[in-house]
Amino acid sequence: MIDGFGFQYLLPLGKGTLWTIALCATSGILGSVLGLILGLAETSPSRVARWLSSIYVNLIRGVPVLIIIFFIYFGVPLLFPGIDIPGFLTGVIALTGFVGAYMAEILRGSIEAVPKGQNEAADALGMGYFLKYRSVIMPQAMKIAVPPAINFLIALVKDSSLITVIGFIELTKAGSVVSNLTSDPIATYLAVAVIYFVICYGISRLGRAYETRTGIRSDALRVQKPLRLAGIGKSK
Amino acid sequence: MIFVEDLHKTFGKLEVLKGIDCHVREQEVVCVIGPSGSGKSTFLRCLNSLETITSGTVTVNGHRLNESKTDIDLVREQVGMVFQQFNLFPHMTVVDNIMLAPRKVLKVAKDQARSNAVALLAKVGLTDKTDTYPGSLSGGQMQRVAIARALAMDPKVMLFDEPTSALDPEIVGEVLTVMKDLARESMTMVVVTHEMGFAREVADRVIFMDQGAIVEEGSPEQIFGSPQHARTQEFLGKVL
Repeated sequence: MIDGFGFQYLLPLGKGTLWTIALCATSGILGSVLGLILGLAETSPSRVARWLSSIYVNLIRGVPVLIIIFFIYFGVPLLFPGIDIPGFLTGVIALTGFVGAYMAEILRGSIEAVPKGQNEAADALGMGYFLKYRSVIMPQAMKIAVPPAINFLIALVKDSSLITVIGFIELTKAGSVVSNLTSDPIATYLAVAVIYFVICYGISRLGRAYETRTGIRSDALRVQKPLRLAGIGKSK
Repeated sequence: MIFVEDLHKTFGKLEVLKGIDCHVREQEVVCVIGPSGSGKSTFLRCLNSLETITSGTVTVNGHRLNESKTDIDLVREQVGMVFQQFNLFPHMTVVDNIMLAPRKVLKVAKDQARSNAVALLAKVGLTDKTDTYPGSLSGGQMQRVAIARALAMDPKVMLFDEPTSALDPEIVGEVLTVMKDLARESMTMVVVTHEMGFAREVADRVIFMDQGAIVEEGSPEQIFGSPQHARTQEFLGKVL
């Protein structure tokens, strides 16, 4: 039964899209929480916490996501007979671990970008570590972290297609199934690409909206303005 | 109030403080002067453990700072500090900057903390800036908010680390006025400063530091009128 790409195939692609969104949302949220913990550990006064988190981050960053997926899906059942991890869970675990490592680095950089004087002012007020981070450091670090974190989440949506290798039917896999059924790879993959684009562009717009609302972008503009005025002044 | 004995501080191989002995009495205003790199800021920062102490002892309000059983945050609650770069929290309004530590550290009720903050803002002449963000203030205004923020903890002693060095000359005065008022209210103050006029007028005692050591100390009349050491004379000859 071979016919061209038609509307009836949007249903399986739609299903795949939902799985991709579910996979990215779950691992994006869990990974961000993991990244928050790791990022705090990396900047903490405890040497052991710094050491453990940096080992984790470097390990995950040094291994392709594909290998992590293979390891969880094929390796774990071999090492621990009887434990079988289904496709979706494999994707969530692998991507969560991946997101956690990168978010940790984004957060570490953002925490370190908060001026040292903020730390000292909080210290001098006797605020202690917990209160200092909650009230002074993190609100500022989060603002710095948002643009690179959004950027990374967009990359995550596309990286989530790696989960196709274990046969889990998310958007890319649904695309390849539909492509085989219809023998129309151009139309099919074009549709898949458009869907990915819409998701990614959506995240990007959400990020922009958040940045504008919290004033991150207007800050950037305020810095640029005098430069521009200075340039005009010179040309006169 | 503050006892410092044989305080040494090294950064790597560089010895920044080479044995400081000093005693600040209650209600005393001590100004620390000296050339850049003389270690005067480092000395001040050792008084609330913003710098770790390499050796020697610092006792503030009865607490030995470099002892593991000392809760440093408890000591810091009683020691206000004002920085050269103000270090206001940019994501909070002026009044929230002032209320934060009293509410969260001292557990003062919100209404009480706010009325205290408003009263302190009146004291530093910034009543109209209560609900604005620090970003819209001038340097002098920011520094006055920073002073109010430190005072909100009702500290026993105030440390000032070159509080006017980042300000334009014409607004230095408004900050010094606030500090003079504080001194008049018998606040214990240690002030690292380049404002010799302020030191001469307000200080009970002036300490001249050079190359990590106290070279000379005495009343403003002594230090500015008849400095004993050649190094003090040379420094004052350049800055006065």
